Amino acid sequence: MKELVLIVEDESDVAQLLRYNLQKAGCRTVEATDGAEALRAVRLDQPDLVLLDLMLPGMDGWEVCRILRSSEQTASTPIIMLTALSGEEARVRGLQCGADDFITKPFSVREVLLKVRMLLDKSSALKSHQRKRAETETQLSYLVHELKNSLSIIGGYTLLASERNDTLGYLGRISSTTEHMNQILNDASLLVRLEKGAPPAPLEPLELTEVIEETLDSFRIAAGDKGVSLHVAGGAGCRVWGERRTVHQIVTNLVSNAIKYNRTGGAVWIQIDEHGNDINLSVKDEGPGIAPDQQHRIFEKYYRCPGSERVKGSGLGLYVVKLLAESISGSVQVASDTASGSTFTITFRKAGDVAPAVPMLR
Amino acid sequence: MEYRKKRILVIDDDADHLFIARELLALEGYEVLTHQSPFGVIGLIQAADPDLVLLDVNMPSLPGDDLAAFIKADDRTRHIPIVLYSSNDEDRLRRAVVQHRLHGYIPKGDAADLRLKVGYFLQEHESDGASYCKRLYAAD
Repeated sequence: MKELVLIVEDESDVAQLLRYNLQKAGCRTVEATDGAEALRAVRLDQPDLVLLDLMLPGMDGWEVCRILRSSEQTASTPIIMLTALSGEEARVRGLQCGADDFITKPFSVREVLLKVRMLLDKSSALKSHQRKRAETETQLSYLVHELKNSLSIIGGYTLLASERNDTLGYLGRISSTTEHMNQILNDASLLVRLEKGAPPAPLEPLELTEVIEETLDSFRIAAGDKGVSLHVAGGAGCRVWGERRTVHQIVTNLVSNAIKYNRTGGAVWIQIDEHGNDINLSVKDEGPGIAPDQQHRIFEKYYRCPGSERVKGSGLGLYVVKLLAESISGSVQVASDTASGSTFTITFRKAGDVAPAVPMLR
Repeated sequence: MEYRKKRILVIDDDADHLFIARELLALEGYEVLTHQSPFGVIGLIQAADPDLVLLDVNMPSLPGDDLAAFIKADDRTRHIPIVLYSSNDEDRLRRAVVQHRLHGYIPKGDAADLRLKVGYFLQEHESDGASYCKRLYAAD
C-alpha cells in the first residue's frame, strides 16, 4: 500500500507542485487549504505524514501541529513544516509544537522528497518495532500465565501429598504437569528460533520409521494412562529429506495431540505412504474431530477450538508443526469429521540424490 | 440456630485446579462445590447459595471477569461475594475487582495461601463485606 501524505497549503500552485512531485515519487496525497480542513482530513484519512504550511487562514500551522500532537492517534505522525519565515523564532516555535522538520520556502523539490522519504521510513520502522514489541509482550505474558498455572498445580498436589501423607496418589499428576511445562517451554523456544528466521538446518536423508519409533517411546506411558493404543503401518525403508530434531518435534506434537484429544481406549494410527516423489506421514486419532469451520484456524498461533478447554494445551503445537514442516520444504494438512476423528498429514520430499531447496524463513 | 458449614463454589475449566481447591478447602472443613465450566453458573449459585464463589479468570469460552459482571448484574446473585482465583497479572485482577465491585482476588501459585485468604475473605464478609473493595479503591 502506498503511503499517504496530507498537504496543508492555501496557495494552490504550491500545493499542485507538491502533489505532482509526491505522486511521481510513489506517494498518494490528500489536500487541505486551512487548519480546520486539515484536522478533518487527518481524522478521516489517517495520513502517514503531514506537510504543513504555517501561514494558513484562520487557525495557523503551529496551532494545527499542537492539536495533532495532543491526540494519541496522531501524536507520532511525522509533520514537516513549510515556512516562508527563515528566522530562528519560527523554527523554535515549530519545534516546541512538535514538528519533526522544516523546509523554508522557496524550497527545492528534491529536498522535500528526501525529507519526506526519510521521515516515512523512520516512522514505518518505528511502527513495526512497536508491533513486534507488543507481540513479544503477549508471548511473554502467555508464558508467565501458563507456567504459573502449572506451578500452582504442582504446588497444590505437593501440599496435598504432604498433608495426607500420601505421595503416590499425586505423583502421576505432578509428573504430567511438569511434562506440560516442558512442552510449553520447548514450543516457545522453538518459536523464538523459527520466527527469528534462523538459517534453516541442512537437510539430511532420514529413515522415517526410525524417527517415529524413537519418538513413540516417550509416549508409551501417557498413552497407557489413557488406554490409547499406538499403531504404525507402512514406510519400511522410506527415506525422506529432513532434519532429525525437526522431524522428531513434528511427530511429537502430532502424536501428543492424537493422544490428548483421543477417546479413552481409542487408537492412534500412524501411516506412511509413498506418492511419487512425496512421502506422506499421517497421524489419525479417534477423537471428537474438528468442526469444518474450525479446521482452517487450528494452525493459527494461540488458536484453540471452542470446547477444547478441558484438554491442556498451549495453542502453539500445530502452529509450530506448520512452521517446522515448511522449514524442511514439507507441508501439513488436516482432514477431520466428527464421526471418525482427525487425520493430520505431513508431506515430506522423498530422499533422492539431490536435496530440495530449503525456503528462507520469514 | 442451625449450624451450617461455610459453602464455597469453585469455578474453573481446569480439572487439576478444581481437584486441588476442593481437597485443600475440604481439609479446612468447608463444604466445597466445583463446576468445570463458565456456563450454568447463575442457576448453580441460586441453587447452592454459596458463602463465597472462587472464580477462575482465564476461561477462553467466557472469561471469569465477564462472568463476574453477569453475576453482579443479576438481582438474584449479586449479593454473593466473588473472589477471582487466577494466574493472571495481578494488576489486571485488581482492575477487574474494582470495575465489577468484586470481593477480591487470590493469585494462583501458593496453595497454602489459598486457604489463608479464603478464610480471611469469609471472615471479612461477615464483619464488613465491602472493606476490601474500599481498600482497593483507595489504593487506585
